[in-house]
Amino acid sequence: MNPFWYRILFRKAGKPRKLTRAVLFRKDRTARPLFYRVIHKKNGVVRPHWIYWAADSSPGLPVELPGAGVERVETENLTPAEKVLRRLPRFDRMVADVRRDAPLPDLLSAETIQSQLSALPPGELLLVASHDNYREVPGGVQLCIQHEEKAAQERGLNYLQFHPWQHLPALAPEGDGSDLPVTLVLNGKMIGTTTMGTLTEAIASLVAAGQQVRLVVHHLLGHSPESITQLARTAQVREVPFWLHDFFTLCPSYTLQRNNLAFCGAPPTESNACQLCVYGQAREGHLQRIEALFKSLPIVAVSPSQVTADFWKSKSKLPLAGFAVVPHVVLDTRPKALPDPVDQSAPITIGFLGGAVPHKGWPAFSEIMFRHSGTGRRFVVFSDKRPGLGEDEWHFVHVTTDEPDAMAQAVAKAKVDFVLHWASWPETFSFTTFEALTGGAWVLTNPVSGNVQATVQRTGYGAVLDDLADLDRLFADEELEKLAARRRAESARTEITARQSALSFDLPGWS
Amino acid sequence: MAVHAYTSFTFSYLNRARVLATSLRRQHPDWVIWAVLTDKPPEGFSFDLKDEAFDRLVTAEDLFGEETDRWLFAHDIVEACTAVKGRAHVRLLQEPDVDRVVYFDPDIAVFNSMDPVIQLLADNAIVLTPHQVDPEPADDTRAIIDNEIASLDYGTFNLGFVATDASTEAKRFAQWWDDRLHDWCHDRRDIGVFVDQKWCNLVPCFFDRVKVLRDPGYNVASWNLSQRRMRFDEEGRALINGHPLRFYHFTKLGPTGDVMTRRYAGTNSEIHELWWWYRNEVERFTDSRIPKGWWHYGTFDNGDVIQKRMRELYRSRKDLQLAFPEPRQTGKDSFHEWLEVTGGNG
Repeated sequence: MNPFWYRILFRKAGKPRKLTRAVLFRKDRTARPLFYRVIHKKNGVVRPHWIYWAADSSPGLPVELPGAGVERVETENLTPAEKVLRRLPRFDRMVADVRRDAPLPDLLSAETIQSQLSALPPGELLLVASHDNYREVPGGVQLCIQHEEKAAQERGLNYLQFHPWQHLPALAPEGDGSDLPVTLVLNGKMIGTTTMGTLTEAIASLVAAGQQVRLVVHHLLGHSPESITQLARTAQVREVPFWLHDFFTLCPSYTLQRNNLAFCGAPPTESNACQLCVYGQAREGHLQRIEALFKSLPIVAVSPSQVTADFWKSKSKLPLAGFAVVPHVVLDTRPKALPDPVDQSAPITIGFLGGAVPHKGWPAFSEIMFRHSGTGRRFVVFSDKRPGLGEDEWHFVHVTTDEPDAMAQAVAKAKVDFVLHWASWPETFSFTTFEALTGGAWVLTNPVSGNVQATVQRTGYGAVLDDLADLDRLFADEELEKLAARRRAESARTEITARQSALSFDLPGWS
Repeated sequence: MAVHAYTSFTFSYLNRARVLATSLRRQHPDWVIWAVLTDKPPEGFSFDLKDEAFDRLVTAEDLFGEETDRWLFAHDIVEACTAVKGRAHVRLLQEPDVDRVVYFDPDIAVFNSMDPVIQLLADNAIVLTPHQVDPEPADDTRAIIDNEIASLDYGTFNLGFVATDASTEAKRFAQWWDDRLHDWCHDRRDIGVFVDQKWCNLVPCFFDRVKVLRDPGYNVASWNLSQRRMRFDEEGRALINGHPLRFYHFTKLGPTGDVMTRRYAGTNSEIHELWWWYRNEVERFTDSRIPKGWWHYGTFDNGDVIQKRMRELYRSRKDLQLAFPEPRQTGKDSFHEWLEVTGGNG
């Protein structure tokens, strides 16, 4: 940029003047599409003077670079890896940073819990460990738990989910044990917070009174495995289904992202990759505690896909009482009785489904969007929060058990040709992929993406590209048009529907 | 096979030396690791081997006896820490059980076994690593200037690493190196000398059984990143151009290092990860009781900083060395007083 214009637009420390801010940023500090047109050269590279504003890993948020922002503008392009690493704290700090300052609420006593559970309609009690309130937080695992809760109630079971009051990106500290505060959600309603010790005490009384109890583990984030062992023993459970929704049993980085940069493949803890990784520093202790849990309980590992099962078994030596593969969704395809008319003239629409997070492939989507917007392609985002990062359209979508098809319907309505799901880790299942396919879209992905690529390979609905350069080439030449034409023809004559799993109730002996 | 490894540093570099010693200990628990210290601890801090990954300590005073103070006065901190290496090598070769001696700069970290070097020393007396082992492309002028011309200026081999056996030839090399470093370990590129390093251009000429180690996994640093790419294999092993990464030389921790790494590592994110790890390790091993920039021999005994021009003046004039045998002392009839009175022009 001409230094004169730079002085007009920015103050000395690289901060935008009021007018610049008003033109380029919204009131909520997210960037307007114009911002991205201004900061990028035609080849997609960020203009040197704008590096200061493009340093965020999620583009668009005006951030100050540590040590550089206030006093001087970073003059040399940071590499993408440097941008991520500059924001990467040590693991202990990462954990400390998310700790709440808020005081604990009044804790439920064992008697209160016991009386609430005793007042329920008679039936077995299903205890469910997971990492957050599945009724409030959107996400694939949360949706699974919603489906499981519904299935439990249909079968006459009461469903008591407990999640850590303190969200953590790790297991709870070993010392927390029975003092760990957990929040209880009973048949879909939050009833309060207690400690693992108190919950165990309440369950002990119920079991003594003849209550039948089962336990399912969906996630251990923020939990104390030692206190879950204690709870399971107290509940006298026969077996414990343990869902492999991700790879938290292999590493605190549950998506196996070495230094938040690349898929690591869960190498040995003593390997260079692990020693150099922020998560590797905590991995040894993490694995010891997970192993102790698996040794203590009759755990049946449940994988949502065969590709996940194969990978997990190749990396884990955890002792098991059993292993099962239970897909969350099964696709049915059948020819339409009356094929739809095919419109080959509409612009090719590329969708991104869900939150704009790196491990779901947002960086790839945004890069392709920046490079190929204005070439007749339409880029549309479907999520519960507007990214505001230059997309052509945004549609609010929030999937719940009340509206399980919300995403697929939105995809179909917007006539999306391709969903770009460039996951940087092996997705264990990927609702997004199935929502795309049932919405009539095809999926573009990479070989690392686990069940995403496995599903694309199996169905033939989409393409698995080797790398970003391959993806870029697909967009640059005629191949995308050819693929879109095939997609539209196939979609016009074939109907795809999804059959929802009952989660743990699809396990042998559980229905 | 007794292997003695050493590094040379002052307390300002203790954090880095600790990273080296810890990483080396992880790979070679049986090696004897020496700290060669050209410094004295600041008040409130003590260096205790019990708390360190080092096994043994030898100080500049141990190596140079009563001449230490005045000899060191003729050197700045970089010159001093490199000048002691020759004498330390000679000293370690005198250990009764010694079979191999390996030197590492304190800003190195070891990531995989160094056994291949130990094996090389079965057939060789001296192993050296060049700054570069692959030529730059003819049209990459900047890389030629940054790397190849810099090597012509600063020395072909990087003396952040040298390994020898304990043979007569190795001892002959160590003694020659010590002799030169005692008198000529200065940053005088105007006369073709650069501390301990440029002397070693002559090693293949003067000594037999010299191995020039061209494996790209050794001594990886910004000066050779233009021709080296790092990746991890499926087992998580760090590879450089397909060879295991043995050790990385984290030269110039800070903005200068960042610029050169960015220039030549570019999008090779694994190299940036190495640096991220190193910064954290250095921080972990930093002792807040050591003042920033501490060097006991960096000041007169009243705390005044000894400037480079004072050192150069002292080492260039025999008369001053004879007149002021304790140059760090201040007070009446001291070199310090002479400097104040004459402004160095006496």
